[in-house]
Amino acid sequence: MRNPSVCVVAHAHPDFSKGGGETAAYRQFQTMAGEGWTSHFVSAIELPGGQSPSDRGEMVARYGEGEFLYAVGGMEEDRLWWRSADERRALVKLLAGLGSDVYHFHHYWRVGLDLVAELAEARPDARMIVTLHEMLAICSHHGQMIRTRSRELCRKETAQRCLTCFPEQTLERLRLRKAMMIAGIRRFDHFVYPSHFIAERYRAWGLSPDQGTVLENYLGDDLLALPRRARDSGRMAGRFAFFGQPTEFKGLDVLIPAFAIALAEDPTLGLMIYGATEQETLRFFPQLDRPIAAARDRITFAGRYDSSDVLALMASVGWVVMPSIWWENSPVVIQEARRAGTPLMVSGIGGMAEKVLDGIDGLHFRAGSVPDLTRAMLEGAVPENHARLSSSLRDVIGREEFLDSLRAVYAQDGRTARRAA
Amino acid sequence: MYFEFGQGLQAGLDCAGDVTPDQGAVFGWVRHPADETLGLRAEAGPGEPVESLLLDIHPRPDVPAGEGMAVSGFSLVHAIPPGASGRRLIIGLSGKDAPAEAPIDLEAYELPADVAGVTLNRQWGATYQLLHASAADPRRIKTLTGEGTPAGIFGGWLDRLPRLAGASEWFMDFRRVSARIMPDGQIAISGGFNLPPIPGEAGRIMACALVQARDGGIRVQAIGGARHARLEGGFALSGRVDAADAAAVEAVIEVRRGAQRWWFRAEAEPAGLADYLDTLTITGFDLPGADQSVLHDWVRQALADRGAALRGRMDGLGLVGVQAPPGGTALLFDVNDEYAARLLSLLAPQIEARFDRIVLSGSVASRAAAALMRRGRLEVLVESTAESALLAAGRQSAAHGGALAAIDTATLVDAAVGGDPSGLASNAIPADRVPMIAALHGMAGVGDMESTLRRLVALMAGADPSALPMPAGRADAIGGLVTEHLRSLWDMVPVTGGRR
Repeated sequence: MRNPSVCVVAHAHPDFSKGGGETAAYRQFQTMAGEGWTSHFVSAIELPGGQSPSDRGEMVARYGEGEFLYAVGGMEEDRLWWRSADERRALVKLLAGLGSDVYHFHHYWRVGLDLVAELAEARPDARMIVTLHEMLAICSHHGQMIRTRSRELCRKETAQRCLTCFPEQTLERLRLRKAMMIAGIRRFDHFVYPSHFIAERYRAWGLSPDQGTVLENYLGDDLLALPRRARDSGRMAGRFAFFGQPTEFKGLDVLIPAFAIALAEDPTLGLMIYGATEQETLRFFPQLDRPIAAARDRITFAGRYDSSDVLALMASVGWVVMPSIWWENSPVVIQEARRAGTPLMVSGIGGMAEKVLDGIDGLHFRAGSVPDLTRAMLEGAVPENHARLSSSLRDVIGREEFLDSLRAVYAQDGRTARRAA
Repeated sequence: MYFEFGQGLQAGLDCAGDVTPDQGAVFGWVRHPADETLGLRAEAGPGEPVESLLLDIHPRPDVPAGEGMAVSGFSLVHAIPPGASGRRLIIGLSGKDAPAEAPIDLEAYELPADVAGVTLNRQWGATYQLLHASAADPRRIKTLTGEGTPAGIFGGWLDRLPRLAGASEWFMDFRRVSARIMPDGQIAISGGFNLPPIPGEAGRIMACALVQARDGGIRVQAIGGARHARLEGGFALSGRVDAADAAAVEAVIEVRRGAQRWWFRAEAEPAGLADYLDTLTITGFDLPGADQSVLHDWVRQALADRGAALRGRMDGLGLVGVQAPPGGTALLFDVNDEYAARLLSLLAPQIEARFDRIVLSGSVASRAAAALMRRGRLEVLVESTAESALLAAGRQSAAHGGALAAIDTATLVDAAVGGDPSGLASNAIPADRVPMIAALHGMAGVGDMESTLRRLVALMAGADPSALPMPAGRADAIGGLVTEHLRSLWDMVPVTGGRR
C-alpha cells in the first residue's frame, strides 16, 4: 500500500531553536523521507527585525530539499492568528499546493488557528493531524498548568480557576479564549499526544478521546543507531547529572540542596549540571550559593552541550535527574536517557511519572521535595539498586513501530463527517 | 392705575386688554382685610356676568400690605361674549361682615391694554403661575395661542428665561441639574441646591412643557401626572409629556424654597432608561440626611406609578424564541473582544449553514465582518451600536421573510466549547416581533442595548431571571428600588425559548 504524502508543519526549525516540539517534528520528517515517503517540512522562523527568510522579500523561502521556512511577522502578537490575511493566504496556497494527503502540524502557535481552518477548507480531501506537545490551549500560563501566584500544580482547568491566576482578565474573555482554542483545534481530524498524561488533560478540556492517539516522539535514526552499553554500577551509581536550562520550573533549586544534603552522608557522590553555568544558576536562584559552596568540587557546572553529544554525556553518568516542579508533558531528556541506558530519577508527576516507571526505569520522588530527592539519591547510589534499575530500563519507541503508528493515524477515516457543520 | 374703595379695599390694575377677540385678561392686585376672602370676576355690563376662564391669585410682595391687611395679586382671564358692550371688573370680599362688591369699569380708564407687553414686564412669579395654569387647559384658555405668536402672550417672557441644555453640574444656584425625557414622553427633572439648607423649608418645583413639534409649531402644555419631591436640599419632578410629534421638548420650570424663587427653561435631553432614572433619583448629588427618606418614598411611588402605567404594554411584549429555519438573519450584537472576532471566523462554516445574513455590532465588529466578507458566503452588515444593529437586523429579517436570531458571546462560546452549533439558531424571533425588543429596552432596559439583548437571550435560553445581573447602579436603598423596579418590569414580560 502506498504511503501517504505528508507535509509536516512546525512552529520552528531545529536549525534555529532546540525545543522538543520542533525537534520531534523534524525527526519525523527526516524519518518519513528516509523511508521514501513523499514529505515536506514547513516551519516558522522569526528572523531579526522581522526580516523575510527570502532575499526577495517573500514570506516563504525554500530551505533545502522539501523544506520551507515562513515568516510570522504577519501574525498577531500572540502568534495564534494572522493579522495579514494576505500572508496567511499565501501560506495556505503554498501548503495546499504541495498536494499532500496529510498535513501533520506540530503546534498551532506560530502556525495560526485561522490558517488551520483555512487549509482544512481549501483541502477538504486531506487529513489534518496535530501533535499536541504542550498545553498552551488549556492554560494561559505558558501552557504549564502551574498557578501563577502560588506555583502550585494546577490539576483542573475552569474559567473561574483561571481567573484567580489572571485577575486582570474577565471570565468572559477566558471563556472566549477557550472557545477560540477549542474551535480552532477541532478543525483537526486527529490529535496525536506524546504522552497519556497530556492526552488526558486534553480529554478533560473537551477534545474527544475517539480522535486521539498517544504516540511517543521518535528520537531519530541517528540516536537509535547508537549502541546501549552496560552500566558499571559499582563506579557510576553515585554520579548524577542534570540536563536542561536553569529555568524557574526545572527544579535546580530542589536538586542542588538535595545533593548537598546527600553529599554530607556520602562524600563520594558527584553531580554534573549540563546546560547551565554556575553564574546562570545563581542568577535564577541566588539562594543556592550556600549548597553550592557546601558541595565544593563535587558539583560541576558543565555549561552548554551539543545535542549530538547528549547520549555520550548521559552514558558517562549513573543517573539522569529530572527534578522539574511542573508537569513536563513528554520530555526528550527522558527519552534520551532511556536510549542511553541511564536510569532516571524524576519528580513523580505528569509526563515524568508516566515515562519513567518507578522501580523499572528509575526512581520517583515527590515533586519539589528536597528530603525526598535526598532519599532517592542515597537509595540510587547503592550499586545494587543502580544495577537492578539499569537492567530493567526500557528503550524508546523504535522506527518501525513509530512509522506503523503514523500509518494507522493517517489512514483513519471519518474526517468528512467531523468537519461537517 | 390705583383705585381706592375706602380704608378696607384698594386695588391696582396693571393691565386690562384682549388676549383674543373672545378672551380678555385683567392683571393687578387688591389690598383687603387679611381675614376676608377675595373674589374677582368680570362683567360685560352691570348685571351681565361673563365667564371667568382662569383666576390666579398670587403674592405681590412689591405692594405694601399694612396692618391687618393682605395684598393679593391676580391674573383674571375671562370670556368676551360676542357683541359685549363693555367690560367691568367686580372685586368682591366676603368674610365676617356682609359680602361687599366694588366694580371698576375697565373701559372708563386708559389702562394698559397690551397684555403681552405687560406680561413681559410683570413679576415673573405671577407670569409663571399664569403660564402654568394656562398650560393645564390650553384649549379653553387662549393666553397660549393669542397674539399670533408661538406661546401666545408668554412668547417674549419665555425668551428672557435662563436656559439649560439637558444637564449641567452648575446652573444658577443649583448643582447637578438635569432634565431628561424618554421616547415615550416620561420626563424627569431634578437638581440640588447649591445653597445652605434651611431646616424645615422644603423646595418645590413646578414645570410645564414647551414642545417644538416636528412641523415647526410650538406649544406649551402641562406635564401629565406630575409629581414632585419635597426636599430641603434639592428638587425633583416626574411626569409625562404627550409629545409624539416633538422634535424637542423644553421644561419651563419654577423652583421655590421659602421666599426664594427661580425660573428657567431646561431643554429635556432625550434619554434612555438609565439616564432617566439617574435624573429621577438625583443620582450624583448628596442630599441632606433629612431628605433621604423623603426621596426614597417619592422614588418608590414614582416607580410604582411607572410600573402600573407600563404594565399593559409590558404584558403585550411576549417574546418566544423558536428554532430558526435556514436562511434567516443572525444578530451578533456584542462583538467586543478580539477573541470573539476570531471565534466567529472559526465558526463561520456553521453560521453560514444556518443563516443567509449576519448583522454585527461591537468594538471589533468590523474586524469580524472582514473575515466573513472575505469568505463571501454571507451577507454581512456592520452597525455601530447594538441599537442600530437591532434595527438593521429587523429590517433585514422583515425584507427577507426570515426569523432573527440574536446571539450573544456566551451563546457563541457555548456552541464552540460544547461542539454543538445548533444552539446558534435555537432562539429566533419572527421579524414582526423585533420592534418589541426596542420597546422593551426603552421601558425596562438593563443598561445599554447590549445588556438588554444579553438578558433577553439568556431568558430565552432558560436562565433564571433572578440570577441574571441588573445594572450596577447606586449602592443605597434607592438603588435597590431601581433594581426592584426593573425586575418587576421584566417579570411582566413573558419570555420563553429553547434551552441552550
